[in-house]
Amino acid sequence: MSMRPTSTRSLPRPFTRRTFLKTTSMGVAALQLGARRLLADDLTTGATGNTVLPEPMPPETLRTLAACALEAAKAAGATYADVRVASHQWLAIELSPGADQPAVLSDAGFDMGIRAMVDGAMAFVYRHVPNVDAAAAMARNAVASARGFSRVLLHPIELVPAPALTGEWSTPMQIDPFTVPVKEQAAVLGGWQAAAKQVKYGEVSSTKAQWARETRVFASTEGAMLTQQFMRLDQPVFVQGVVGLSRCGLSVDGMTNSSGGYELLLAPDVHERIVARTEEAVRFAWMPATTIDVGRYDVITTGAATAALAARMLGPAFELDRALGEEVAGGGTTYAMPPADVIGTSLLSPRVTMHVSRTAPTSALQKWDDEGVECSSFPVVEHGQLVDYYTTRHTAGALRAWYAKTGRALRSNGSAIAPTAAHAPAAWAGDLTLAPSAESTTVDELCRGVTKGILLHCPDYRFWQYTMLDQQLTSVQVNDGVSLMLQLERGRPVRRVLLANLQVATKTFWGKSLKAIGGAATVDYATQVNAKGIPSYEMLVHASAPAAHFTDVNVIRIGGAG
Amino acid sequence: MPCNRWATFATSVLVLSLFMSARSMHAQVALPDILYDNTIPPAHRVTPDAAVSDLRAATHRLFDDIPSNRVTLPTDSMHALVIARATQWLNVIRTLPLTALTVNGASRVAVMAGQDSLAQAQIATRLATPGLSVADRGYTLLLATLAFTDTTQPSRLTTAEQYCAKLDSLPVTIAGLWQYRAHAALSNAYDVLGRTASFVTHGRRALMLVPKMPYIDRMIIIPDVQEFELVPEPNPYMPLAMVLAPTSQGRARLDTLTQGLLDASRAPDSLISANPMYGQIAQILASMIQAHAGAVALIGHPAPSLHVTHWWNAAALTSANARPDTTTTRRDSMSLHGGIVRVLLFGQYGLGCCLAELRGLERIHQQFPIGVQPIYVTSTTGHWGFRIVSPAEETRLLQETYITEHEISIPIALWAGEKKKTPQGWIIPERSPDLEAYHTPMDDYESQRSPYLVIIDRHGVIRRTLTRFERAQEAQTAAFIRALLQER
Repeated sequence: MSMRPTSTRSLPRPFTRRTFLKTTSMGVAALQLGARRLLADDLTTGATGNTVLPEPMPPETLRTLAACALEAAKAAGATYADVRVASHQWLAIELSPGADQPAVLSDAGFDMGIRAMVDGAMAFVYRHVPNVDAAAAMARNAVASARGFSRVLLHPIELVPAPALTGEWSTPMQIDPFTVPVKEQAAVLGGWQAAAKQVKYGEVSSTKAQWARETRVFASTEGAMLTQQFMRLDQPVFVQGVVGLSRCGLSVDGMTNSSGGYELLLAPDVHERIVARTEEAVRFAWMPATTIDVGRYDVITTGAATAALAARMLGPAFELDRALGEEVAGGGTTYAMPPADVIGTSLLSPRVTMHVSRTAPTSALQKWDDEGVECSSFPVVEHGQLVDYYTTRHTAGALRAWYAKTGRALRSNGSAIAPTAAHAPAAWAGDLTLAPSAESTTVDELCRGVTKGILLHCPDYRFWQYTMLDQQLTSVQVNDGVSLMLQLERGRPVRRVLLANLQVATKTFWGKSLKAIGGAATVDYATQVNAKGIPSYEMLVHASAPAAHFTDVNVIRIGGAG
Repeated sequence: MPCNRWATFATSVLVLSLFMSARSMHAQVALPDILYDNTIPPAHRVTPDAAVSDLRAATHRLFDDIPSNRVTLPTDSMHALVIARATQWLNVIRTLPLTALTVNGASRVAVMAGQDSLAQAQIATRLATPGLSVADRGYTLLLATLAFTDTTQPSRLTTAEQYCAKLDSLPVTIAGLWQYRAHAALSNAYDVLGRTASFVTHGRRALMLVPKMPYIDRMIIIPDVQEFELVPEPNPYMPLAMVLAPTSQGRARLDTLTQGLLDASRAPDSLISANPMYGQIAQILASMIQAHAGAVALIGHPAPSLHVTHWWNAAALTSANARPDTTTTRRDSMSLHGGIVRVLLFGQYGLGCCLAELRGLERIHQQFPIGVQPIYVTSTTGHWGFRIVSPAEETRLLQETYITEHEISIPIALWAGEKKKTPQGWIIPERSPDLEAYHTPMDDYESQRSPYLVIIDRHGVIRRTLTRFERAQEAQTAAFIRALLQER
């Protein structure tokens, strides 16, 4: 971690247009550029992300704007305010199958958003214009809105205490991808395609490297001033086996949303992983397909499939704002509510132990959350018992009695995340980890002895939102279009199952249906997109989990004749 | 970023000096608008396959992505640039530990760098891998064949033939698809080089493999069915048909091939019962083979006249007997008999590929300014975008598009038919009876097959038709025209 303390000097004041212009870069204007598609000549002349994008705004400029907004909020009468100011850049390189030249898109932008409190009411306002006038106007607008809300407020908001931290942190990385020529990155993608082509009937259907660089500043009227620099990579690589009319597409393990530098593209075993995954796709494509009768089946989930289901079914369930009903008109509620009644009870199978963190090198990696609280690793479910929620400073107070009963200090566990600085922070999971069995149970061993069953694969490590949930997350339908279901006969997968959907009740599925879980060697991961907020916005939830054996799962059939 | 600007400037100077030196050797050399950065960033670890990808991009950039008005580039110098770049990559790759998966890529870089012996040694290393499966052996031999199938250095084709022969020794049930690809690639190379006997041999061997392959493989060798470039090599059927069709003996061999492909298109009952979609695919395959065979039917027949209503750039028609005959009762009827080779491209304004192929026709014209007459033939459609327009208005709009906007300089023949009602109540422009003569069974497959290229010899006989005239076909087309010009 490249954390280093910042100066403890007081913030400059007053902030006028003149002083701001003196202290900021003229490059700010360039941030108003929209998305840009690189021209062919950019690719031949060694263009990099840095040469085609405007220079990022210096952190000092972002801090100045943050301080300016806070000054204006205080002057307008805010009892508390916090602000997020961010400059972000984006570079996507995509090589289509068989193409010699990549498609390259780049973009840059600026966001800032402020939460201001007046008499226990809070309001959030955001802007995309990087100047002091806009920052001050945004702050005054937020204060005025909060003052208005306070007149109709039933329950004043209470922020649990948090230390006012200062510091800087950057995503650990070796090579800045914005300094690496685009054509070199495209060549790496081309190498991946060649690897997949070594497998007969194998192909890459998509290779892409999408870099997001962001400098985000958090500051509050309590004195916090934090600067984080994120470097995130989305590198979806899909391979497929095409055998006549039968095809099977799979994403490649280890190539998903990550945090880090260009070295992520240069992982030494990436070609082996692509070849192995392509061979797997071809093997699945060769499998005969069948439909099965509706009914109840044993379902064995691979590690990735368990993780995808956990991210979708368990991930949002323990967001405390959701459990408190704050998302009732947005992302929905949860089966794990009301918190006071559910916390401490056995909600799931004793085989489920789940931790949450933001320390793994996924795209969730960050040092502090968007309320300036240090992110921590904490248990949420221990042997089936719900022991915590993902909390924020303004929701953690709901667990005051539980924390007191269990001897813990009342504090936020650092789960307040805003996808951009122009969004208000809300509770999000980050990385979920389901603990594997202490025994070294394999997938084959889980399948052994199953006479009427399905082996559920997760073909795409980013399972996305195609698993359908109800508003309370109480029931889920897993679609065969996004999963890969294999029919088990005498414990062995023999056919692909078409037109089948799994229909499960969440608490039953993760409760009495969960018969066994696999060992550490079966652990795999998946990423899901979950949504909340008004207007709705999406965030990634990552999960790692072992394989698992679920019994008595309802299988329905959709589509097709008969 | 001053250092990048300096790097760009330095590269510009380097490339400029290369082209300027080439310019002294080639009187008509034109400096390209593009500059090529011929440096390899050495900072980051790469794989041989990434190097191959980079070299493919470089080659594409140099040879395929050049503005249409830059046809006289010094290819020798451009090859030198690619070889120099490949050599740099080779030096990087030499520092890498090669694994079983990366040695194939390394050998391809070696070939591109002109290090044939090194490449052959690496291929031998790969083939000597203990326990190498037949499939992996086949793929290695396919890559080796493709790497040495180099039309710029025909002497390498001997090596390619040797690898192809080894590939042929593998079981067709496992390696048939790759055997097909190897023969198709060699056939294409010999076509480009004008070595007809070898072209026919490999083309026939490729197509004769099809009935022996598993049905699933047969399906993906057919153009338009293949996806994601599983088989990037051009299908040899049409070029082969062009060569075989004019003689009775050749026609008989072609008919045998066609019948073999038609038989091979039938899906086994077991497949159809497992998945009825195979039955539909079989029908599509059969109709496509028949359509290709139908397109060949024009070969060897006298070219019908062109009966059109408007000519643009008619002054560019190269000889008196090639000009439109305005004395006949027909409007601008032009006989296509005698004197010169004619290349007719039938296209439509609304199709982007037609405009792209029109640029190709211009390049052909620039290669053969004497003795070859390119003509772009088009017709009105009755609408302009979503707007219904009169023939006169559409004619004006087309003239603006082709002549003013796109600055097309070759002769353009336009049939602007009056509108008429169809029995179904639609209003469409009437069709030119002469242009109908060029229509093929392709029209049954798609309502109108455009673009469509017809090459007519000096005796007015149709000698070749192409349903695709992209960059990849330009060289062969030029070679074919050159051969026609040499005929007495």
